Amino acid sequence: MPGLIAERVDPKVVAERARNLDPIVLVAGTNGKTTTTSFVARLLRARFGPPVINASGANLHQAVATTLILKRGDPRRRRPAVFEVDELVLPRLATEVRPSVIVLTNLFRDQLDRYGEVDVVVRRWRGMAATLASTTTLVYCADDPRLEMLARSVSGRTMTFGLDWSEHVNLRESTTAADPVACIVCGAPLRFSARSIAHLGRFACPDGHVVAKTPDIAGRLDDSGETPCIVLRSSLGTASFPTPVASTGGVYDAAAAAAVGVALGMSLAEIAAALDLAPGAFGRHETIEVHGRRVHLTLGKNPASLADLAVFASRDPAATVLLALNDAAPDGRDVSWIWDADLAPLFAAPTVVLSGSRASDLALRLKYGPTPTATGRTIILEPDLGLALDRAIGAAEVGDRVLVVATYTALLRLRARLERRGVAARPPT
Amino acid sequence: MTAAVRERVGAEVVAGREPTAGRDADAASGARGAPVATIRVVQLFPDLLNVYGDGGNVRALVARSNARGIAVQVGEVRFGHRSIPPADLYLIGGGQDREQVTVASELSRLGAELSGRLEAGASLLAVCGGYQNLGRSIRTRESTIAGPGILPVVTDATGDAPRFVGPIAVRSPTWIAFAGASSAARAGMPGASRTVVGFENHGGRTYLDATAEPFAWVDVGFGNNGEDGWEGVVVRHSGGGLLIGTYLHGPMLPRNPHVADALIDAALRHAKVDVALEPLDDRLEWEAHETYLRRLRTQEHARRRIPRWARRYVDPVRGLIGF
Repeated sequence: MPGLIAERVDPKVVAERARNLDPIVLVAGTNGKTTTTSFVARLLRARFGPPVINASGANLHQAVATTLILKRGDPRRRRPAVFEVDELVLPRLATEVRPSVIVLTNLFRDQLDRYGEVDVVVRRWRGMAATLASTTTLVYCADDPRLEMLARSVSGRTMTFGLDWSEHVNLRESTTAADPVACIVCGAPLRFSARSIAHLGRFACPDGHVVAKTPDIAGRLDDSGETPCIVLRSSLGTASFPTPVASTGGVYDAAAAAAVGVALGMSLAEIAAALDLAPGAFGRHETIEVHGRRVHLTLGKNPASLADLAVFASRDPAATVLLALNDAAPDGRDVSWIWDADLAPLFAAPTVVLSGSRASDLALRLKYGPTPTATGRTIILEPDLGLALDRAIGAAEVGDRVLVVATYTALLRLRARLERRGVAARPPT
Repeated sequence: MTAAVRERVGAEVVAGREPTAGRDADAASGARGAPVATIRVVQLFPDLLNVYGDGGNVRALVARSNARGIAVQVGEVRFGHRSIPPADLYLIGGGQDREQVTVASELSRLGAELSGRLEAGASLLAVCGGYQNLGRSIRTRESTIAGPGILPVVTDATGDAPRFVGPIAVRSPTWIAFAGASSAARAGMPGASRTVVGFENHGGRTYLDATAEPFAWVDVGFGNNGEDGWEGVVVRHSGGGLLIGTYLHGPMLPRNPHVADALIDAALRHAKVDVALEPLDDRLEWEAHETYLRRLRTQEHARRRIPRWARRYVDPVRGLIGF
């Protein structure tokens, strides 16, 4: 609200307030924004002191303005800042605050009811990329063909991150119908020799117009030991650190943050120390204990994030699964994406609870498969989120895990319920 | 065991591998004795047009056929393929503008062959981008893209007007509603088959030829162009084929079982098998259908500012209750 008023009074308020911030990092993309932002914030704190951050989800222009006004601090002191920015807001904010680094995490199909189509975002970003200040480094995912094609129009400094494809990557072959991506030059569908999540992977145009680059910062997950570790590698060496975010998405987020660190002059060892056991964002891979059951909250909002969660779920096949699908505006009113997502590993759980305002769509999705034909499974259809949570917890044995996969508003409501029960901590403000 | 068949077929479609003709039919015969029939379904360009869960349409067709002992062979035509294989039913989905341009150039090679197969009696479900692509032309700001004219429509994508985005309910054509009536009644929702529901998301405005038959008329939503109240197009060739072009995705068939069965029926006729489709337990399907309608009602009540006390008497989807 203060942001809205201030912008009415002085449209340049964001540009002015941003002047005593240095360095500024903007994070945009479909998945992993919030976790990447929290990782970058840790790096900035370690190197430059406490950063200015916008609250999770408050990523529209006004919300960023509000953050800048309320958290201004001493105007004579330089502070670092990192902002999670909505895809369509990024171009405007980038020209106003002249960031040191812009991170593009990935571009998946998401909220088509809001954007129309992914290419709308691509076009806006291409315009921005062509006019970037020479002081800005663009950090992007080398495994994302849309971003690789976009980066062709950047004249300034770029830096890439991605998975460490040279190592044996323990990936479950992604069966998710990836968004079709066509070559920017000839229009032929790109071919993939390997894939991680949806259309992220090693891609090439059949005629060689576009080819995936080797990422400058490559990450992989090492879960051979007791605690899973993320191993980062660059041309300068390697470093590893233990992590609670043991998913492919988490590796991408850590590699993205590390690329920002390197762009700002940090060493890999310094980065690894700062990210040691860094938790994911609030509600993302957060484990809360309820009556001896470990309730593991995750955000599943598009086929790409579900593909990542499917890998995660297959590591603990005994877990009870609660799927919650809402269709309010922040979730995306169009739920057709559940038909493009690989839900089989989640549906394979001994007990599956389906919930949310569109629980019946999940039930239909489960009915039409492909569904594992395991016998003795229990499937519970309970649209009410609170009751569904109770039933999921009730179905799990003490010591077992309840994996919650929920869309944005469903996740907030489920977490709020856990808070009211006094088992979850209030989110930091 | 039928479920196992469904799973394999479904998995195959999702993974987007080359089709293996005959394998699925064999699997079905192992499961339930000899299949009473086999139908062939071919997806057109799933590698280019596949952004709105359209794969769910294939799953619905396969599952609903298998449940009646009908085997389904699923094939694909991808970018660069040289011909359109024969099939009883073709499906084409929605995509983005850029991919649609590529599809248009592919159709300039393959359109005549597809058109011939449809005139000979094969059926078609074309959704959103595929619906536009199979029409006569798509006019964009840069150029006019010619289509094969399989569907008697033209699309205008030149305007700056906002996209048509949102849930949509249309009045289903009488013959589809009638066919679905018993299924809906058995599910405890008599009358539900009077509608077809889905989600629309398109910038282009589509106009029908003067003599063309619309698929349905719009109860709530935008439809073809937001002006004439029509949604989609239907073409019935003398060969017996049923061609539907529509903007409804979401995907359309799982929660509109009456439309799915109409297409299976048409495919069976083309396969020259005389099988009556036995009714299935469609309670979940109609429940999902109703969820859509409830959403639409709430949204429309608010938009039309209908006072709270009157809301139970006014159904924006089906008019006044009792009339």
